[in-house]
Amino acid sequence: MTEGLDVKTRPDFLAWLTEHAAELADINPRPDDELETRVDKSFALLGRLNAEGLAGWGWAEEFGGFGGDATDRAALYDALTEAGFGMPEQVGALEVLGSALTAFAPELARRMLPAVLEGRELWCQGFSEPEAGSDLASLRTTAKQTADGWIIDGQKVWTSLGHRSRWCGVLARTGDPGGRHRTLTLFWVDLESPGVTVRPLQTTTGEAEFSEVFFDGVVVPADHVIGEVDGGWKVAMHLLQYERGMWAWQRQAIMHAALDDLVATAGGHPTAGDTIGAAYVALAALRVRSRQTVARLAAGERLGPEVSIDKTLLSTAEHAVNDAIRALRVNDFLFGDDADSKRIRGEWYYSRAASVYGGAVEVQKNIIAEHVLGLPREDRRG
Amino acid sequence: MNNTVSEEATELGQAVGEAIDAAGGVDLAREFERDPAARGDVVEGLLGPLGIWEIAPREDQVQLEAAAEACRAAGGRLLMYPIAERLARPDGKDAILLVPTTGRRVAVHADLDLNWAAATLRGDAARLTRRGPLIGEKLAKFVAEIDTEIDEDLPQENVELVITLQSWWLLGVLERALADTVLYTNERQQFGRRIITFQGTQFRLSDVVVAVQGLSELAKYTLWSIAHHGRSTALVDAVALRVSALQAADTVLRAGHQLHGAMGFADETNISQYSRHSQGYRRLPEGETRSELILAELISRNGWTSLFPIAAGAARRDAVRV
Repeated sequence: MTEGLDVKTRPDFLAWLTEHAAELADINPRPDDELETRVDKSFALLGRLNAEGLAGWGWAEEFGGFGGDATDRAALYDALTEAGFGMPEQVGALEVLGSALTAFAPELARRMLPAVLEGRELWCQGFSEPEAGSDLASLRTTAKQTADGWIIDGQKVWTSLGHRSRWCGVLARTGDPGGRHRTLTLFWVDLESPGVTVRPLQTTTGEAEFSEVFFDGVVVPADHVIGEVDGGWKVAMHLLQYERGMWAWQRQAIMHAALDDLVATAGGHPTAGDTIGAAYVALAALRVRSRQTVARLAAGERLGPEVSIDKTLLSTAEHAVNDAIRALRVNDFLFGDDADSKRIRGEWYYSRAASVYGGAVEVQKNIIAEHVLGLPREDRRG
Repeated sequence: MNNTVSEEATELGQAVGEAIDAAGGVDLAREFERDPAARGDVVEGLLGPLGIWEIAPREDQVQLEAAAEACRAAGGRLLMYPIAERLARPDGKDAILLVPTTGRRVAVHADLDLNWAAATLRGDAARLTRRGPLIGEKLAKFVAEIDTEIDEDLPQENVELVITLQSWWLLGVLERALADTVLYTNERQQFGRRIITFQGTQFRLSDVVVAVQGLSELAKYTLWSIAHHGRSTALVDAVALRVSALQAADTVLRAGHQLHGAMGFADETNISQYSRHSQGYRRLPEGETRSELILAELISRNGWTSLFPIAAGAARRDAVRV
């Protein structure tokens, strides 16, 4: 791997995890475990790491953490994969929603964050809808104000781990639909509330990783608004820094482990040099870029549209790494019936999604063109 | 060469397509995934009455084209049945199976109880010594274990034919994937407009059209080549067609997934079905890299007659030097 992070935390994550790897093997959410098993183990692992004083660094003490900044969290994610652990399933949504809660709803953050850090709960992000994917501002789920709170009606889709989540950050319309991004609000919704239905979706990989979530007259208390009413877009843009920045860092750690594994299992393949080399170049570029982004997040800098470059590098690296794995292990990929073969199949199909989720690559390129380079906007007529 | 297909062949393709559509079209693949054992009887009931097993593709170019159009129509509905393998059967056999020369011994549709001939992509005859059950994994729902003995000195007749007809089946899948993607991007609204109106989408679809059209022309050329050349030349052209089909499949299905967005990852969309069920033919009997290696070997051994005689001459001269 390329250069590591400037870690300020104690203890030394990598040394601790390496020393305890054997002892924690039973709660290691291995990439070749079934999804439900990975979630169960993730709860156990994060809880244990929190009890041992590891998971929690990077979150302020007032929110149940041990102090420090985003660099400390990034260092833990890196160390986990380097020591042979799977990435806990909670940390994707934790980065995104945790960052939104701490910045825009500190009171909620104080109540909610400890349950995730202690390995008791999982969250999900209710943004995409059937008619609002990359075009998030056209979403139709509504929130109507009542005397003591809000009533939410509508439908979300592609909600990662929706079926195992307790809480969902739901972006809903609180005003005129014509207001697009100006009439959205982010709500913190209990998925155990009456009126919530979660339906896992069968995917190409066979894993029900994402769900449809239906809201039928769901009551949300007034103090579960994240940020200001009609200020949801601002919060969404804030958390996108983490979705596009820190998520890329987590994925690069996972992909480094996968590429390492490929070198070990198929490094002798006649075309290994070319294939793995190309993947490594893409991955190294992602890591270097992402490392800089994490440092900027840690320094409290406000990341702008340039984080779309991270997301674009991420999808390029995802495709290159997983194409390399498919090319060099094609028999396993196609019809291997062991857990590892299932894993590489699942990862390959998931890698295709990297150029779709969190804003499709076409949208990222538009953002780079219009907002980073300042090029003229594409003609909206059509 | 003749790059138009006869009217009789086109009509048969339409009839095959209509028969499969009447039985559910692409949904048949879903049905067969649930019950793979049903596909023999179901397909016999659909295609038997059309008389397609009476086609003798070796007799004349019209029958060869008819066989190709039938495969293309079947691919266009993702019909998971060895139609190419049956239409290319050598005398005295029911069907011909392509078997791998490296890696795990498996083949698409080998579970079906037919009197199989077998051969490698290089054109060598093989003997099936065992046919196992379907593997049944997500990308190998119609792939079965086999054991084979390969006879490297014995050429197998009709290898070039089955390779070519499989490529026509794949062409059908890719044309359908393109059509579905155009349909979806035409309907899907984001940012207040149909996403097909974005230039990024149009460029991507254009790349797909170029890939599919190029494959389609090469597929027609290969039919002509089979009808007019000796076996060794036709085999080179058939493997070249296969390589081209694999490259096109990559372009088409990548774009198909991307332009369907998250929808493409839900198994209820057809693009997910095309992507999954075409994997068998795309990776077996040999994947893209090995198919390319075999093509290079065959060119240096058999020579190369192409539409472009100058390049062919250069290749022959190089082959002599090798």
